[in-house]
Amino acid sequence: MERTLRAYMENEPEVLMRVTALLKRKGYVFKRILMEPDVHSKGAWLNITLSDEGPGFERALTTIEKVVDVHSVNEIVNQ
Amino acid sequence: MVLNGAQIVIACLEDLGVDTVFGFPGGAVIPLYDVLYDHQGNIKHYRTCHEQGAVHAADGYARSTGKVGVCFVTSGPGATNTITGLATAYLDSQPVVVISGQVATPLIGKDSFQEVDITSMTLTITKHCEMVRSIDQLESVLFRAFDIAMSGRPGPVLIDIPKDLMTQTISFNGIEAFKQRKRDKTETTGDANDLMANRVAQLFECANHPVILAGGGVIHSGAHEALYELATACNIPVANTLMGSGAFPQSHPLSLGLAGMHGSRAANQYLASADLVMVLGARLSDRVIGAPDQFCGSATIIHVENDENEIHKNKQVQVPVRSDIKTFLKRLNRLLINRVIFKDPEGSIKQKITRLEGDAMLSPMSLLKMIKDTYGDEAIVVTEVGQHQMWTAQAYGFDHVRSLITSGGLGTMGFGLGAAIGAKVGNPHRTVLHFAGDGSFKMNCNELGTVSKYQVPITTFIFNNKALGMVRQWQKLFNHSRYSETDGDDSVDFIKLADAYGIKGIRVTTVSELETALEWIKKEKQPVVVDCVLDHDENVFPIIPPGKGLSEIIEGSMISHES
Repeated sequence: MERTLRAYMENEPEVLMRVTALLKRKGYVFKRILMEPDVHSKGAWLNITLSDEGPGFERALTTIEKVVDVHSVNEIVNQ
Repeated sequence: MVLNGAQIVIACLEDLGVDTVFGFPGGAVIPLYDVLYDHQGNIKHYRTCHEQGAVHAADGYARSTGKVGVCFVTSGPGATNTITGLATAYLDSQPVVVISGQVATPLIGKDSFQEVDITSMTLTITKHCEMVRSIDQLESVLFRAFDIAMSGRPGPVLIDIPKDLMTQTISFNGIEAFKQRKRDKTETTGDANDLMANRVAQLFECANHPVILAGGGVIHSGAHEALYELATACNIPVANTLMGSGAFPQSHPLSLGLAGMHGSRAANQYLASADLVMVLGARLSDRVIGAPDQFCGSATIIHVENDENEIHKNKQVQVPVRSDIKTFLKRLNRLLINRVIFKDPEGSIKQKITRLEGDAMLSPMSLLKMIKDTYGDEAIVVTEVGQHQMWTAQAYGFDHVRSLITSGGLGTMGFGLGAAIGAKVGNPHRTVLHFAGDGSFKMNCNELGTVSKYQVPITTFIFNNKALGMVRQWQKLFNHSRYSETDGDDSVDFIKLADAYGIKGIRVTTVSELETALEWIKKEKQPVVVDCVLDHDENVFPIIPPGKGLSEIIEGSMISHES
């Protein structure tokens, strides 16, 4: 089953690279990645849809949450 | 006050209390070294022979002092040479800050001379990395780098600074304004409440055979005293991981010693038969648990960690506790001490743990025993990776934290000499001993140049079996003694090598020669390389084959010495 996380973070390419590299290293498989600037702030929103392979969706959330330039991360439900 | 970028870097380091930097100059950091030239009284710089050695030295400094180790390198190859060092520090959660020069901003992305995208390369082997994009960010980026490196679970940080930013000027707000700036995101470590501590205390009250497994997190959090209090008051045996060596005194009767692949029979059997295991600050790697489904199969496992990503990562546990270990143990101690005392487990521990014994022949154990007898507990021991590392972890006996400096997670051969330099620089009044295999030593022995240049009085003991012993041992045990590319390497005369660097070299082949050498070394207080000639059939036992359970121990007596 696919699940999608949504992170609010600094609008920098390095942050996107760090998040995706960390998840790749942990064995996650990406289905979709979308990053777009937030219209109200300097930050950006990153949506990543993961396949059900890998070490578990909740661990992906806590992994990303630790990245210094990621300010919040949640699962998107009922897309 | 108007300062340029390089001056801001040095001012920030001084303000952060940095008095020692390891590094290697190059084109992109000339402005930084130019400023350093005027600050030599405040910041002592050690120029290593290679950037990898510089990062290992900063790492050894960090591991032995608990402070951040700092390293300067130039762009391109200077930066790429830090990668193994950064990965080593990352896998063992060590606070290292690498400041790398980058080509000037207009040259970035043009395949300029000595240009690499080092932040992309180090994304997954640093806790954080970033390139500074404008000079007004510089002081906040540096402050944040140190904060990130030390806070929560420590780790390495790389800050990449384009050369033009080092020469641009800006009004510097001064130290007070600098100190007031806070990170916008604070790392939390969790803080288990009394409810959780009560639950764990109840588990101990109901247990018959509890064991504690102490990892490197105990040392990071400064929880060793609380651990000692708990274990000794309640009579709970304590095993340790490699990184947890010294977290609980290994000479104490309750110490089970090293657990895992090369762990003591006592540690592995206690873990296998325990009904309650409390893991403190350990990631439970494959080298510690073997087959995950068999690890402590009949026990309830409590896993106390300040990094929640480590819990359930390698082993599903019944009681996860996300907390700073020291804080949690103090809570637990209040609940358990004077209420629970387990039956005396000491007798059986003594029967099963590896102890150093003398030997008429020069063997790994006699070598370790004589060194231990000479230096007692006061020495910091820094190892490379391989058989000598495991013999040391098994049998040397570490009673204090930060006394064994070793690359546990990444297993970096070539780590030790640089790390020993860093450990000695950080602890000038302690003896620093460097234990190396001949294979590991040859990887980064160029750092003898650094030892010689600064006359760093460390003693290197080469456990010289003229082979890549650990791989050879695996080939013997698991590949039918097919010694592919591991045997018969006698290509370097280590005495002549030491001599070339102006360092005293001594070769020992017998116990009495070692005795004489140790007497001389202790008296002379200068760098020495001791080439200890050992038999290449000396192997590390016990061993648990990879992927097997802790009870599937192979002892040396079970293996034929033929072939």
